[in-house]
Amino acid sequence: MEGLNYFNELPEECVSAILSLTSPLDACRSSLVFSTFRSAMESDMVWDRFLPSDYSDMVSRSLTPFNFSSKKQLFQCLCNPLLIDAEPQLREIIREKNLIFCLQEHFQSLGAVIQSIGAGFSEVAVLRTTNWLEIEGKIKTGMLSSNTKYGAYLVIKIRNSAYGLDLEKAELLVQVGDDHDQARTGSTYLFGNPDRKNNVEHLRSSSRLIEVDDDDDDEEQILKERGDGWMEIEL
Amino acid sequence: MSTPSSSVFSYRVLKLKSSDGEIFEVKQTVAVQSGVLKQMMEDGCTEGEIPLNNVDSPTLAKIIEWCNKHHDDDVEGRVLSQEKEKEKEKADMKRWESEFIDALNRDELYFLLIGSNYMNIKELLDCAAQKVAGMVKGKTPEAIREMFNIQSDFTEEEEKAIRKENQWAFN
Repeated sequence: MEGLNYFNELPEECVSAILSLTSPLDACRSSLVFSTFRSAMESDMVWDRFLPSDYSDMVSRSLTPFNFSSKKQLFQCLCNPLLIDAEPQLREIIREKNLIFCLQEHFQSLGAVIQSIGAGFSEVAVLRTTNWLEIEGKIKTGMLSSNTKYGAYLVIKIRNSAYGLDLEKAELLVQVGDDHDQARTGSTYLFGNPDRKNNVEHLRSSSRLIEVDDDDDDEEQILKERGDGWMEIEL
Repeated sequence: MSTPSSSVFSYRVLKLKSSDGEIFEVKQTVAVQSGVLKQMMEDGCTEGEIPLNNVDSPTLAKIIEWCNKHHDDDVEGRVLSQEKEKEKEKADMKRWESEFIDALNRDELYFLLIGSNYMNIKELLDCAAQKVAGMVKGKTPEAIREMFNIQSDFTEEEEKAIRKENQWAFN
């Protein structure tokens, strides 16, 4: 029997059963093998197995609507960072001058207004002036799915008239549980226009008052455009 | 029940006829693992020989061996009171399954895939598919074709289109 190309005749359901037990990468790659591999790779049966078990919950809580016509497309949507609606009490807690304020209730007194705009958020905080700002967000790890890679993002929008953000680096910290040793730290400038950053560094080095810290960590996080008018930074 | 061959117990046994004409007798309690045979039993059309045109006798023998091992006749009646015992039973079954599958050559594996799919025996199909999945993992399309002796049926343009659609997988 060796030598016969009978694997060509394997029914699509069999190929789907096989591919669903590989990985998304292997399934996509092997679509090039033969036409039944390709049609099997596109089938919902295969991608159903790759999707996290709680994907319907993620879809229903996503702040940006999904457009998908197949499970494969849905999988690809879920590969991109996803904003889901956390419970209100888990939203950011803003700390100013070491006093803890709850975002919705107290931010207004700091010269900020809460508006309903953009990025799929039902509420956002607008900061006008302050000399010290800490933003802290917490979520329960029980909300997360297993075997899934997560990133923490800060989503902000900076007004054209904003100033001062380029004078000091913002410190970033991501921590799981109470283990301070496992925390991931970093720092970055929170502004979007790279030209302005160059200007500042130029200014700094010419004034020589502040040491220019050029040999930063290789993987310095930077603010990126999200495509919806907002900026995000992976922490 | 009028034919001479139907004894008192005949309703408990199904007669399966392989594609090459061999007859296999299988207990109903075992045959129920096949979705197709289960449906036939429910519809009451299991009198006489049941032709399985897609399954040859060596493959059908393998399938019946699997089903005999997996039907829970011998587990019934025994109370597995201890979790440990259950765990051990599970582990033993896993070991038996992998030995069963690993002992097959490529042809046997292929016909087992076809047969378990045709007879709708999900656990066996999964087990055989798992074996092939392990062979496919990490391989290039060219290596997979070579392993299973498959000739591509794509034109150059189609190949290009697939590569483009799934670009991330080919980088």
